[in-house]
Amino acid sequence: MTVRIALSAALSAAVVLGGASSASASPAALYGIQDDAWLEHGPGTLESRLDELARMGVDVVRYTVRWDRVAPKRPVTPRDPRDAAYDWWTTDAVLRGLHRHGIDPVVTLYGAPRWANGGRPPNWAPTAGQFGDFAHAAASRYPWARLWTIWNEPNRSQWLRPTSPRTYVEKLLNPAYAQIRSVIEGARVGGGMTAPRAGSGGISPIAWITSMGDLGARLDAYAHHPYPSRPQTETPWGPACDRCSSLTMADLERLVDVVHRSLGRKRVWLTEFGYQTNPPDHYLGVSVQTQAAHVASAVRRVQVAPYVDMLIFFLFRDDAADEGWQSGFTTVDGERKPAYAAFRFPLSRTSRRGDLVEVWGQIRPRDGPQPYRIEILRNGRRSWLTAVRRTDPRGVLAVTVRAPAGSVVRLWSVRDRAYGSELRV
Amino acid sequence: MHRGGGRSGSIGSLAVALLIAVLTGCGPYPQPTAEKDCAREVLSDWSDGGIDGVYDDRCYVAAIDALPEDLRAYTSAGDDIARALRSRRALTDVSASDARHLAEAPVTDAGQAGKAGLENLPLPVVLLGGFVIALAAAGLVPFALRRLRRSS
Repeated sequence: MTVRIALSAALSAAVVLGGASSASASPAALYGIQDDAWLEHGPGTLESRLDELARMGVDVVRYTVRWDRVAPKRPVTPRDPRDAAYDWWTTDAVLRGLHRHGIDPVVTLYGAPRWANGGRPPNWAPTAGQFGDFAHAAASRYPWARLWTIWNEPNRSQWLRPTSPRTYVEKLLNPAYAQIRSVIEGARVGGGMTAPRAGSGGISPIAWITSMGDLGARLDAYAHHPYPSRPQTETPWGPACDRCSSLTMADLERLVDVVHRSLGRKRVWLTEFGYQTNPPDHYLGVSVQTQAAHVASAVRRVQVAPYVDMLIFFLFRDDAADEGWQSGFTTVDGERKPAYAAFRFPLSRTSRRGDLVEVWGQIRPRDGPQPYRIEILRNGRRSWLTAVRRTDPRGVLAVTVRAPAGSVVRLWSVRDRAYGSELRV
Repeated sequence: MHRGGGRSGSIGSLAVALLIAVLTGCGPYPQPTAEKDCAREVLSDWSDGGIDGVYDDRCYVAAIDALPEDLRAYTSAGDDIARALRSRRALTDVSASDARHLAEAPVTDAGQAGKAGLENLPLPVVLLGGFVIALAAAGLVPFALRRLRRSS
């Protein structure tokens, strides 16, 4: 009925055929960014950087609290955050700033001090159970922080040695889980934090998850980094690889399945994800337009995936070093890539039937229904495809519009007076 | 102290020095550079969405060795290149296990990598070689004439 009325009312080819509707799964999905270096040392003030994140509509920011930096010397009373050996200066500024801006931090605890691991680098596990004490101190310091994750990519030797699930579960995850949960009621602790593939000297995430289950890992959510294996050809939706030992975003259903079989029906957090861009990354990068399309598409993927309720994009700003990561929403000089707008106002095509295209999108800044329009670029001319409409209370929209194949559309946020990135439909 | 025998003598010295440099390994076939170049070609091919080209074995091996850390750790580039090498070697009747072994072994002997025939030399290297030989000849002719005059 709605379709017929809309069709008959349309005098131009640009018609709206459906109303806004909520996506089905993951109603509480949280979206965010991790870029510790930019947060701590980026241009402007910390306050201005936090303001920018709030304007983008970031729900969560993953931030690493480095045990080796907070506690370069052995504390006398390690569970007490006021111990003189602890230096919380940097973490206080960032975490309290995020809290002040209404952005939930996802606090990652990582990096053993030399006094705790026999004088070795920070990727070496502590020799005894000191990590739980540090987790207790950190949780006491930030009792309003609800989301915690333990270590980073422990299935790779670059991040944990010995690279063993037993070391991870018994010396890091379980002690920290017990302490954080004992200090903060309602805290949720993510474990795993696995890289998508073993790499040299590592362990595949599938083997890692299975072993964690066997070892009695304690966690509220399984955290994983589903970077694409072949960024140039792999979208967040596929192709999946059923026989691979790696787990990328394209394999999301398999990740959830492995987690559920090994660890019970845990939620899944995707705590690092991104596509690097070319330029500057010649080998691994995609075009900035493709990056933007994949950002919006990944947001949609998580929105509809059962049990997946967090997606964190890795880097706000590109690394300066060539060997670093160029998956930022801005270049190293601060110039915004289209992905910036794609995160803020994601728009993704969900289906096409003839000229009728269903698009899904979101106005991320603010809570509550948000006014929006969709614009089309056709034959070099821009025109409105929709009148002003409203999203659902989560800022989500799902509409069917008439847009011939190959045309380009984008979202306009009325309140932000800003466009999303262009989407070829 | 007087050092040398004028213009033709210094050109001759330069020519000899260049010749020595050429003979002691600064050319005419800079294998490590060539290896790096073809490794780069393999990586570029991979980054275009799949390895469609066919390369010398050493190029696949060098590409795996040269993988930047982000590619090695987070992508299937290493596996894809090793698989492409296995396919290529399977086509030339070499066992897949040998190929795998080769793919996993670090390149330690650049001298064994690739062919060293003249047809593989880049044009600038050939031209430089010719120029060096001409310079050497220019320096040696006056020297030979002087020797001839003295002996006669």
